Amino acid sequence: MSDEVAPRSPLKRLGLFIAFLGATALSIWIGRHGGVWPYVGGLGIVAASLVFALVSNKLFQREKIRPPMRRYLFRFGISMSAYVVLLVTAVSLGRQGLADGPWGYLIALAPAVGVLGAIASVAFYLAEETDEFARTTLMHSLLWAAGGTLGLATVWGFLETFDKALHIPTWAAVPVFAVFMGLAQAVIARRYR
Amino acid sequence: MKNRLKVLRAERDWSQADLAERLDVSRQTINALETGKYDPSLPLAFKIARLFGLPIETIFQDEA
Repeated sequence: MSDEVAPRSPLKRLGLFIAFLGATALSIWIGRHGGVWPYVGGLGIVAASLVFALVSNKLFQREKIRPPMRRYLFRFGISMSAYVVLLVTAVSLGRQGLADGPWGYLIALAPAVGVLGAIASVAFYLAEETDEFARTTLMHSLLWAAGGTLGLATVWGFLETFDKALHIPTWAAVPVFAVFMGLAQAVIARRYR
Repeated sequence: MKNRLKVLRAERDWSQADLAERLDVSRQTINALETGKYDPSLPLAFKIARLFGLPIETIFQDEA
């Protein structure tokens, strides 16, 4: 018998996290240059996140990524890459004044397509995952994220109503949900360690 | 719920990963089952029983 418990190396973990932050910072720095560089930088951030997820799995779990998770990572990566490209395109077209008129709706909705794809990739993963434990823990984290996002939106909304907080666009719900989900997954993973 | 998964697995000299592969689940699932932190669904419990060739109640013991 071998590998009863996944090896845990704080140094390797820290190194990987620093490398991830470095790659993200480099991508942001590259994206600051004009022309096509924002596209390259945006894709760099998505690539850094995916590589981080894959390497940390390989490094700390020492096992193959199961097919449903592999398909999820692929779909999520494609969706987020599309989001970055569509967002940068929509913003640059908007700056040129092309978002006025009826075509403006298409331009305004274009970035949402990528995000909707990312949401759908989570739904597909839930439907395709054959491991009931993985499904259960994911559903727990989705519920925690839903509660956190709804709670924060309610609190923030009332603060806004009484002019005590700045307005936040509603698309912020997705990144906020993702942060809550990440936190919930970390707590749940510890519980079942 | 208590179970004898770890003992049954050790008797066959299987790793958690081996058992996970035979049941088509992740190794984390086996770990959560063995530590008693997660109770399997009926279909998975039957699958485990079939794999070891034992009745369910000899693998899982109700603590109530």
